[in-house]
Amino acid sequence: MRLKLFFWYWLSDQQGFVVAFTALVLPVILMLGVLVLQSGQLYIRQAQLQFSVRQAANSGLIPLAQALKAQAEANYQNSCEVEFPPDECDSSSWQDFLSSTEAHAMAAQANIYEAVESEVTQFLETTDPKLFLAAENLTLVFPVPNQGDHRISARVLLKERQISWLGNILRPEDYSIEVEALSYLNLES
Amino acid sequence: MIRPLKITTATRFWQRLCGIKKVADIETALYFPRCKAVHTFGVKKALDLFWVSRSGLIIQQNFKVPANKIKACSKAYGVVEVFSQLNPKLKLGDKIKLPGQALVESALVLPVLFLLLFGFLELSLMLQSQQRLTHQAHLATQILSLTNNDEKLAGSLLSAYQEDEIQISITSLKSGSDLEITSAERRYSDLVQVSIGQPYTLNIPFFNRPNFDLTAQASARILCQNLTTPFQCD
Repeated sequence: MRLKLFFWYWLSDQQGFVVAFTALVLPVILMLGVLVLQSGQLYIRQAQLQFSVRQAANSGLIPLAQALKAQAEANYQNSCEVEFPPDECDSSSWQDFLSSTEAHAMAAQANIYEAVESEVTQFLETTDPKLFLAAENLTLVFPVPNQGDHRISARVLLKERQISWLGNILRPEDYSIEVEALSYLNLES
Repeated sequence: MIRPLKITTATRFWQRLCGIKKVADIETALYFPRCKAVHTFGVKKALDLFWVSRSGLIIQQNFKVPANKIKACSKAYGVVEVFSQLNPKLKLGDKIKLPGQALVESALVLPVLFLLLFGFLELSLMLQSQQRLTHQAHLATQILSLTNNDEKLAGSLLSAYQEDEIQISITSLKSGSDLEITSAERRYSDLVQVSIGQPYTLNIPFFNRPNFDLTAQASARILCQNLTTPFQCD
């Protein structure tokens, strides 16, 4: 402690102390400034990715909705386009012509999964050209288990590695953004 | 190690006229900047005079100068008067740390620090504006996705940026292709891309107020349908 005080006393007595002190402190100030700016940039990017992933999850359910609607229309034709249709045929909602068991069975088909995956990937690639989309960066869970009988859900997880403005001062995982979105299709009218 | 002198600067006329005889503390030296000659009229004790350059280097010295004398040094920038009995043990070529040196150094350094401070502050404000623009673009696109109505999108943005100038651009693409379509042709599952631009001026001191546009983009698919469920357009 005494040595420190002596050094400080000796240093402050020298001409050019302020300039030398500033030269020492300036890199720290600059680093902190860059850190603050990068945090802001990461925050904005995180908001962009969160929105993109949410819309991608919504978009991914469109092929499923179209397939379910086509099946409901087929069911409608089979049961309602007869001479004496039942009262349920008055409904204008396609969900009334499709049972939840039938809908879940369709969602479990491999071709529907592929259509959903393709739609999610295509949406992200089209709408965010800056995004580097590798297989390990994108995870799709479809259909999401344990979501109830009246709901079919898709969960999209996206991880994007960011370039650090400060080199490797912080750990690389500190510069990764992870976002997640869950979208669902309601089977009840 | 030379013991640092406690130095007071004579800056005012009265201080310079009266000199060291008005300094109460005998341990204190008096520094006269911009002074090439001094007198010792009215001083009761002998003085040591150290003639210094602008940087505080001793270029001439007079020890034990009695009362009623005049001394001068044409090359000096200033002079430090000390009571001889203090015996500061200074010699030619030594450097005296003159008061005000730290001030000069601070004056050199502070503009740089202030420039940095204002720069970071202004960049942070720019990031805040960018964040707001991004948020509004997302909100407006979400509204468009659920209503398929350009007027509602514009209404949302104009209510957020009442007096600020913004540019709005909406591009509609047919689902499954890159074919551009009009707003009237847009249907369920078609893609909409909303882009908002806002002019921004950076107010950093000494810089020529650079102007540029902040932009934010967002895309979504139309999720509502005009005629059938699951989502009805408003």
